[in-house]
Amino acid sequence: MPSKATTTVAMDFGRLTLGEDLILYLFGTPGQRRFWFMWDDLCLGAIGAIVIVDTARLDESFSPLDYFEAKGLPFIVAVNEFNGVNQYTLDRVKAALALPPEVPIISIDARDRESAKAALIRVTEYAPEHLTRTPAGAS
Amino acid sequence: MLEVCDRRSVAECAALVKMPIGVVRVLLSDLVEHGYIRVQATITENSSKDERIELIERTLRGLRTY
Repeated sequence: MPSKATTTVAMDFGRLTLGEDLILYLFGTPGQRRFWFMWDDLCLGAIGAIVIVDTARLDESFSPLDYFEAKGLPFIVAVNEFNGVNQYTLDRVKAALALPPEVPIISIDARDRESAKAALIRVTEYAPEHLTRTPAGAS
Repeated sequence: MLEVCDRRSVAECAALVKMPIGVVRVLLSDLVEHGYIRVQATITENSSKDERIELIERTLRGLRTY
């Protein structure tokens, strides 16, 4: 809501046990720049990031996108469909965000388990592609 | 500590026993030294590309069947 005066801030945290010795930790943080101090730690050893964008305030997505690009952390963009439909095609959103061609963009209903899982799978598929393209040592 | 630390991160253990993370780290390392617990490997900034890709692929397989 662009008109909101205050924002409720929460750091969401989740863990998925994927195997006897394999646990995936999920962290959700607000996108505003003043929370970046938390992101630096979360990026350490991370597989990747999902940047969830709201087409009503695309302009707020630029700085998080810049952040992950600068970090070299693999990220995908997930366009949140709040009301079940998106007003714009993914191609148009991708162009508006000036995303590099290789960055995957998907639409997501973050409230839906399967949709959220698909986003996790997409970023996990993309991470090795991104890793093999970047020089050794970059993380 | 032994009750809460099974397959959990150090940060989670600290939250569960309501103690500072620095203290918990010391207690856990003592437990490791005495052979009560074992630290599971994870990727760090120093991990090789192959190690990362191997872990990512296992994660992917796990997610697909989740």
